[in-house]
Amino acid sequence: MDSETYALEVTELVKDYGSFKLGPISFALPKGYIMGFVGRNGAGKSTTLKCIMRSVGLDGGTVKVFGENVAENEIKIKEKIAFSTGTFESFPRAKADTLAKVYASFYPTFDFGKYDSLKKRFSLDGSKRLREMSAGMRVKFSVALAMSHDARLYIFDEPTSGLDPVSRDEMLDLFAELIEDGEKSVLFSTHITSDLDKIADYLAIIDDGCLIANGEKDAVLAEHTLVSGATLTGEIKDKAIGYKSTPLGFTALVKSADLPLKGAEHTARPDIEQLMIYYSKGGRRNDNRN
Amino acid sequence: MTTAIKLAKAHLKLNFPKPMAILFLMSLTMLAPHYPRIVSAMFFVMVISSVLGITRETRSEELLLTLPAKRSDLVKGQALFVFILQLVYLLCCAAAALAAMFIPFYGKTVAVAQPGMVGNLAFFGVALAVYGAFNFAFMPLYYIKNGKVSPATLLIACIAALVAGFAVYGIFELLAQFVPSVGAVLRSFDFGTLGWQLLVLFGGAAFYVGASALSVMLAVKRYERG
Repeated sequence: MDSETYALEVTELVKDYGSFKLGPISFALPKGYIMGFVGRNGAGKSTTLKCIMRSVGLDGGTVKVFGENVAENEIKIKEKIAFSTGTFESFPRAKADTLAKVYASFYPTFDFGKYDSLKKRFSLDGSKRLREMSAGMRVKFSVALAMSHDARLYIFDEPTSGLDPVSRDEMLDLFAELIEDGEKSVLFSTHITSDLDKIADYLAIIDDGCLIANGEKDAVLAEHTLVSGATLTGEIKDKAIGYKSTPLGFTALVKSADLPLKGAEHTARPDIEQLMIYYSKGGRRNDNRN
Repeated sequence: MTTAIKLAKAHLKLNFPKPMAILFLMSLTMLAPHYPRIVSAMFFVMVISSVLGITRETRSEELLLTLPAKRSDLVKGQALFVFILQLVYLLCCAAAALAAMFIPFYGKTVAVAQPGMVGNLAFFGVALAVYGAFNFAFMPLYYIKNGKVSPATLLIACIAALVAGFAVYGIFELLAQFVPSVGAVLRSFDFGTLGWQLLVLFGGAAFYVGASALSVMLAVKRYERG
């Protein structure tokens, strides 16, 4: 396989905190695409991203970026990665431009022209201290910092969570622009699934430290079907990934391959949010641990 | 090492209020009559603990770990930052101790109106040894587990390090009290003992370098397990 086929390959990644265990999880992001990394709060999204960035030690598995093992050449590889977090609280008393200068000292390709134009695009005042900025502004600043050096893999941790709808839309446009040349790739974690409906090409859904679905977004969605009807039969209950039942009827998420099912009066294609909800609500779990 | 130096610089530039300014003000307690010099010399602990505590609380450490730097670099960078603060503070204290020799106080000078060892060169050698002991206890305790250090852990690390530091100082005070030749070096501004004072100064500096380097090695080992 061409080592440059994938921007990111995560294989059998494990992190054990004692009270919470992540993985083993495996997924890959092909070069030139956007992958949405989705899961409820505490599912393990940030832990996975921290493991990729080696902010925490791994208990197992490997992470490769453009075919290179991050553990073997950490600094060189991290120069190719841009990382941004949606809860930017760091160095609250520092001025934005001072932090940018410090940031630039770590990246040989940091471009202050690009940084200035992003500041302008996001209406950011670089002379402000970070604590004087709103949460949304800090997120934008974090993204501006990340995008000002010549990265090839962009990792955003909940980049849209603190933003208003207009800013969120702007941010998503920016992500889409990033991959236009086919050389750059984006991995972003979120629990706002509508963002993924808009721009994600690939999808990885995580719940309770396990990857429950992963692959091309349309294929992942097509693998699942939402069935509904008046009476929840034993067969549907047995096959359902998750279901909701009321005196008026039921709705269940099943694997499309399990259809047809007795009692399934209506079928519909689920959206990402429904996948996330039904998987999280329990029942059968896709065995992606292997 | 270059990355660690960059990280140390990042701490110096991004923390506010500037730790150096606070340390300078604290060193002025060296000018207070009847105030133990060694207590003044340990005020750096307040600055370091608050800066490190805020760094963890605001997840600034996590941000630094996303930069092209290894986890070991983060420990080395922070340790370097701490050592720079300590040494700058000690220089400020030395300047204040020198000034205290010229400030009159009831017919004497402030310098001789302070309890314990006098602020000669040997004192700063002892202070370096105290700082070395502090680092040796503090670093491995503070970097016990990556990203999971609670304020209590920071407090425990500080207290343990202060106990280690004051224990070293206590040994020197006891020696000065009960061994007249040691007392002559540690409790006098006499130029006749300058050679011995220098010996204590360089001995303290050597202990500081050794203990601090060892503390970083232990801290890196523990932090990388996290």
